[in-house]
Amino acid sequence: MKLIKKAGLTIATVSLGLSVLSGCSDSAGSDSGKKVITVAYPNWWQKWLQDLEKDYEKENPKVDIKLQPLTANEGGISSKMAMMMKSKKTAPDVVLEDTFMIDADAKAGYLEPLDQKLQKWGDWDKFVDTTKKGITASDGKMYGVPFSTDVQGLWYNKKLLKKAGVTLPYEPKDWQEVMKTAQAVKKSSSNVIPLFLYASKATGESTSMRTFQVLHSGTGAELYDYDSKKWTVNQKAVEDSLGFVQQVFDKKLGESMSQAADGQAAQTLANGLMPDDKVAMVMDGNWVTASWREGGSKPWPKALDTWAFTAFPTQKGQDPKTTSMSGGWAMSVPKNSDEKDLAWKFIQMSTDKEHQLNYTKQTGDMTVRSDVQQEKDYLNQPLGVYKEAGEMLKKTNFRPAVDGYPSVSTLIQETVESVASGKKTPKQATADYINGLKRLVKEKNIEVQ
Amino acid sequence: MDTTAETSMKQKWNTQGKKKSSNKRKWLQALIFLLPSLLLLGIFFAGPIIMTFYFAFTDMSLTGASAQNIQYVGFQNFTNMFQDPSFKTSFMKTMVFLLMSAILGQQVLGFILAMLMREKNATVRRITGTAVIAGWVTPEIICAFAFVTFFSDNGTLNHLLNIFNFGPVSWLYTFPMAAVVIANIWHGTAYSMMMFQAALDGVPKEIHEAAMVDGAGRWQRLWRITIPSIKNTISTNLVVITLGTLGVFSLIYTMTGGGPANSTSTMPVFMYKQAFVNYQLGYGTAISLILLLIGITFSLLYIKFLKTDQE
Amino acid sequence: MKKMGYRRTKNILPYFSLLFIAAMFILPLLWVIVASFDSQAQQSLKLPDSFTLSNYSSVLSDPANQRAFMIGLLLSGCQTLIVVFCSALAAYPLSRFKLKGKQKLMLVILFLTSLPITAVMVPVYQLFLMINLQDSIIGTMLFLSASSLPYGIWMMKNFMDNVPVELEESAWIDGASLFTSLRRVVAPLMVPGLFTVCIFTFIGSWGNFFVPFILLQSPDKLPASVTIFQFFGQFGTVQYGQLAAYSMLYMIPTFVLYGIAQRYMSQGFVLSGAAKG
Repeated sequence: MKLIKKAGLTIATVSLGLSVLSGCSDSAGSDSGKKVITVAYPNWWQKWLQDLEKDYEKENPKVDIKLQPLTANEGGISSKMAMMMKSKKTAPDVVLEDTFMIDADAKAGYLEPLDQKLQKWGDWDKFVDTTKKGITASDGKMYGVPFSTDVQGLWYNKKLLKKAGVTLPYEPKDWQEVMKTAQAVKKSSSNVIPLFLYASKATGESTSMRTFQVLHSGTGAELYDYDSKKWTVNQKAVEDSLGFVQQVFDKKLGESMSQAADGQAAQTLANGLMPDDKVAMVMDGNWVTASWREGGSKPWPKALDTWAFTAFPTQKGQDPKTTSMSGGWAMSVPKNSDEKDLAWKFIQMSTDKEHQLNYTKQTGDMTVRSDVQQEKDYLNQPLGVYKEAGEMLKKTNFRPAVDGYPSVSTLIQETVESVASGKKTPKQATADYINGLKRLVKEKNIEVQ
Repeated sequence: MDTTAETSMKQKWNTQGKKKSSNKRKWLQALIFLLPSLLLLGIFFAGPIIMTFYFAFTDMSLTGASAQNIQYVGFQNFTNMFQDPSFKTSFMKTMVFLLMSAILGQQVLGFILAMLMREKNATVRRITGTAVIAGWVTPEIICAFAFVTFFSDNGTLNHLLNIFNFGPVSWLYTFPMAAVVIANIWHGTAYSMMMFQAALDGVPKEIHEAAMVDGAGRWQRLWRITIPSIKNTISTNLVVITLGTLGVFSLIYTMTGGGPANSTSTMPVFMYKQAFVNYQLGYGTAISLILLLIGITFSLLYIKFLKTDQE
Repeated sequence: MKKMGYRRTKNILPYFSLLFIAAMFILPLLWVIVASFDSQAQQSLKLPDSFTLSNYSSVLSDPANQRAFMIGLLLSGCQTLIVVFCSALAAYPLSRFKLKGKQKLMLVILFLTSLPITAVMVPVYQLFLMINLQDSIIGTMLFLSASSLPYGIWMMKNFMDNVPVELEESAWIDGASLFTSLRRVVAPLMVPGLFTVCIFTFIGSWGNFFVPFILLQSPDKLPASVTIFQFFGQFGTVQYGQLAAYSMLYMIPTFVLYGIAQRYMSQGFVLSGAAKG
């Protein structure tokens, strides 16, 4: 006993010493008495953030913006954000997060509710209402300001569809029509993927959201019921959605499984398959054209002569006729930030009309502001599909904003892959999905219909 | 392990008195030398291991409500784990990866290389040695990138096979386990090779010559003389690389992310995904605990090997 | 004649096999080398249209990369020094003193050698939060040191067993203390052993992405092994040319260190200590 005590004491002393040592060497010297605002964000927004830094520092000469770009593989970034926000020592003042993390991070106590600040902010009315859903957590409070959103739909190759005898513009009424078109393409053009779906774990969230949840939302069912606070499983809806996936791969209308299992599938599509007319339809987001813009990975200014974007139909064409899923990104203030007011000012500036317009011009993303939506500069951007996308945004759906979502999403990816690869029938996969849910969120939180 | 040096040491210390207190005094003296290591190991190694036993029984998570207050959940993580088909898969995958890449791959290839290189032309030795060691010296992450491109659809391997009118094969999709196994063999073989080289150099030539006079063939010499005389090295090496391989994470995670369809999801990858992608730290820790237990089993095996060696 | 031919193939075969294996080991690195000089590099292996150093210059000129490399060197370098120092100290009594229970301690060390570090990362992260070492380069360095220490001690002890004790004894007779004899007599004979421990520790640490990724939070403290992921973009886009150039640069330290260490790890002594039980 004595020995253990002694050892404990030694450990305590030494660790104390170490922490002091590290504290000294690591503390960022706030030179010239300037206040420091740290902003943490995924590194692909480097250029935009650098512009914001310049503008903010010009307006606020006494503040120093410190940029913290995060580099990691997918999944890594949100866990990294959580780890940073967890400790006062490393918490940034502003974080840019995927909105599906907001509820979890709010529940964990990492984020500061912004309701009061938002109410007083005149600009808040200008934000499209659907995008506000994304930043509202299950406690009803709002934890961020959205700055980017997207919609999912169906990209189609005009040349290949014409060849298959489809009337353009293509507006499929239901799933069956999509399937028929794919079959027609298969007959009329060899060596072409009729319909590309993200269908493996390697493509991560895309598989869950752009494939499964777009389909599932088209059945009219919900994954989560906010009133009863339970995960709902409408077995028929899940089976039907998986059935669509199964048909596509079973009838060889989709990509090969090795293409599906490539984590770089999105890049392969934008840089190769789509420009080379090797694919006729793709279930994907409105931002696909970003790669084709000037300075993108595959500049192709005339892309929209070949490719067009249309809304994905509901299962049987039932109201509201078409469906979509939206994600988005928001700026939030961590609870552990020590400069919350300055952080809020930074967010206000970053999402005002001027900077939001700049953002969409730089990235090709969709705006979240209704006033920017009207701007000619926005609508007439090269390679933009903002008109179509704007319409889709009105009927869009959001992923369940609850803290179990990330792990459920992984489960969905596994389920979709098991069906696409032919290892399981939709029925078996649905049963496995239910079992998986029981394991992840506990049986009492599930309602099977 | 008892060298003549140690024997003389023994005499020296023994003559200084056989009282019990002298052992204590010697330990105290030794403690001065051991202190820095003990401190480091105590805080950063023993500490976390003890904590593993605690966290494995909680619902701790990286985000969400259970990030704020951690609750004790008993054996729930373990019951979940044993019901989770992915866990069983990951256990099997770990064993396959171990057997193929460490035990068969690195050990056997390393031994063959060491045998082949004996008494060969110095230039050939140097070329081969450098090539093999390049794999070992290349950092794990770069290994992973190099092999992802090597095995990719238009990668080096398919280019080569094309010359022989074969392929192309989507290696990372069709044979993902083979791909990561090969990458790990590439990265690790040099270690076994060097161990065996050193051991083979230590086998006295006279024994070989005597056996040759007796008319023993190549294989007989290999089985009866060479292998028994480097038995120590074989067993030590076996266990060291086995345990090293058990923890391989960056290589597999970067190459395949555990996929496709969990086919390369070894336990470290599975643990990482549960803990840091699904944010379930408690569950991840429970998986770690099992991984630790496997490690412990192997080290007990190891210790047994050594004991028989010393007899 | 036939027999002669057989003998010749028998003699050539090992050479052929060795060179074949060598070629197989070089192949995977081919893409990295070629792509690093190609500004348009893709995942597939192809000769660049034009040879360029632009990948290298853009990687090298980025101050963030320079810092990441320096941090990596600091992290792995200091870790290596700590491990060499501590393990040499610890190995001395374990090799030289006649201690009761020493064998048990050695077994514990061997036991620690065998634990996969990956398995303890979650608790280590929690521990670092608790003792406020999170996001500290020094803390990470100390953890990395501890993790490679057991193996270091084990190797070092075996090396030390091979150093004849008589030399030390004569030093003691001359009135040298334990520490002096360790420094003056044992250390010089241990140089190959020190270098071996050195190279093992450094190689293990330099490529380690996982530990710093979990323990360090501020992006400006991350070593090169983590920042390498900067070449991966939002929708799975990868800048292959720069990634390859970065990889080439990233391989330099371990190759150089091995080159230096190899000279000291004299022939026949290479790892003989490590190979012993």
